[in-house]
Amino acid sequence: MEKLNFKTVLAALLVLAMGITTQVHAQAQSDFQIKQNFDQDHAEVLDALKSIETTDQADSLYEAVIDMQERYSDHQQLLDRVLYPETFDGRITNLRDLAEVTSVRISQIHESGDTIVVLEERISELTTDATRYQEKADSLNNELSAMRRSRDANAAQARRLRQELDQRDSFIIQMVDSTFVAYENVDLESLSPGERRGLALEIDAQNVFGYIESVVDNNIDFLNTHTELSTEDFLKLYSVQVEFDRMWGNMGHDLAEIYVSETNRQERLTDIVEKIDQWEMLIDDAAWTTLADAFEQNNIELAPFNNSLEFYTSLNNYLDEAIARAEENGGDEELARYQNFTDLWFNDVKPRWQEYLISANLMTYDNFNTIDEKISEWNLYAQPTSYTTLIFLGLAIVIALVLLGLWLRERSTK
Amino acid sequence: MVSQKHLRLLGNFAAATLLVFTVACGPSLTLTGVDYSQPIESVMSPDQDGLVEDVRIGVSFNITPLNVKERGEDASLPSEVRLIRSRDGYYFVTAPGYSNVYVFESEESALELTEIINVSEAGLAQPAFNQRTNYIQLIDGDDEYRLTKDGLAN
Repeated sequence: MEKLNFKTVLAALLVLAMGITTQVHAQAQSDFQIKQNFDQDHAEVLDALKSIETTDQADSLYEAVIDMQERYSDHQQLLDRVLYPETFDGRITNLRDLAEVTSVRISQIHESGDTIVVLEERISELTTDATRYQEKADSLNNELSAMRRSRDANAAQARRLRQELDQRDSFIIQMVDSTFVAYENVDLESLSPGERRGLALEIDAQNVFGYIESVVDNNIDFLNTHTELSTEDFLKLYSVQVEFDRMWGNMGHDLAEIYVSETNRQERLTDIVEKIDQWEMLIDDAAWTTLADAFEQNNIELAPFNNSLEFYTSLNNYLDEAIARAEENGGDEELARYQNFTDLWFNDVKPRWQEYLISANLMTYDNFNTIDEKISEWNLYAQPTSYTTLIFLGLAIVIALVLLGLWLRERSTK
Repeated sequence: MVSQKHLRLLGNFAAATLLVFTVACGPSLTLTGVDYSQPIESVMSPDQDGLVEDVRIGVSFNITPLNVKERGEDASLPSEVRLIRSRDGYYFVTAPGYSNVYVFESEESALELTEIINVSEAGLAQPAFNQRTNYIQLIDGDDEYRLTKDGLAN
């Protein structure tokens, strides 16, 4: 049976209303017929509620319910009896409530729809940029491959390439972040399954999830093939991985809910989680190796470390031992060690690495403060006694001897 | 001294007294002022055997004997049968094409005809009953009749 549309139903209600009004004046009515008409009108309003698409239609239907209430109000006593245990007022109130709720729901859907349109436009813009970045990344990857084959490959080229890729990674993360900020304004629960599917398909077509995966893939490829970067570069990459991991932890499952079809959702989630773990393992290994190398190249013999706790413990132990050694036997050698450490600490670690060590959650500001305090203490003990101090000490002894002589002389004259 | 004959007489008297009390106490209660009025008529379509039923009010019967009385043997069954129960408990029955309204009294598993009210020689076109305070209203197009168990009311 063909489903009645809203206009047909509303027109039928109006015709019925006119018919009944005419009948009232023409002849006595059958109570049975009044009940039948009421039931029919009630059913048609319920049908119309199902097919309403605009707030105008909802408002018209609400008016039709009011009109229905007026038309049947003369028969309220009859209808109360024949509708038992329901009542005429109960039925009408129910219809009015449904019309109002439908109007509000349609209004909300339209608001959500407006947000979705804005969102889709934004995704479209971002996708254009993402495509541009992807093309650039492909070009850079080709350059990288050529570089690997060349004997002239050098760290500077790799660093430049890395910087370009960093821009793209940063863009993708920002894109996902901003997209989801926009998504927070959309009440996905209020959308019908069809609307939700449509939105998911629209966004899936933009392949946002694909871009996210490509960030992970590119970083894994890069870390697998490039070890010529500086400590600063690796630490920076570590902070990117941590940022990405944070984003994924916050919205990874939500992303998959929207961007990935249900059939292969779990598979893709498992796949990307495994890749993120692999990325973390690679960057973790690379970061600690390059940090250990940096200290070793500066002749600072730290105990071996493979994670942030071991690194911090190793630094503390090194400084504690240095302070104890300087306190016991300071001198030029200890001063040289101190200078060596502080050169690295104040020229590289603090100005260039600290930012990334903290953003990658490898160290905290408190950790740095503790190390700084120990360096100050080491400084105190490592400094050799100065000539000025010796002169002052000599003068004090001379003065004391003079005063002692004067006192003895005074005593002998008495 | 009480003889065997006296004892028998006393026993018979006690039994008779008990029987009188039992009979007197049983069916003597009557609830009065009952309102049987059906708020809206029943419109029922007969099946091929002439059975009509309104599950809403819980009544069913075979219309065939009534149809024979109204139209004669081998007459076709009406498309619909209209029935309403009045305030005093009488059933009013008619159908399109009928000239009469039949008034029945409820009996044990039966409806007993008490009155035939002739309303239209030409036959009713679209009859419909309405429950009114002191009568049953029968409408048929522009015609309107007031019915009681005894016939047409003034």
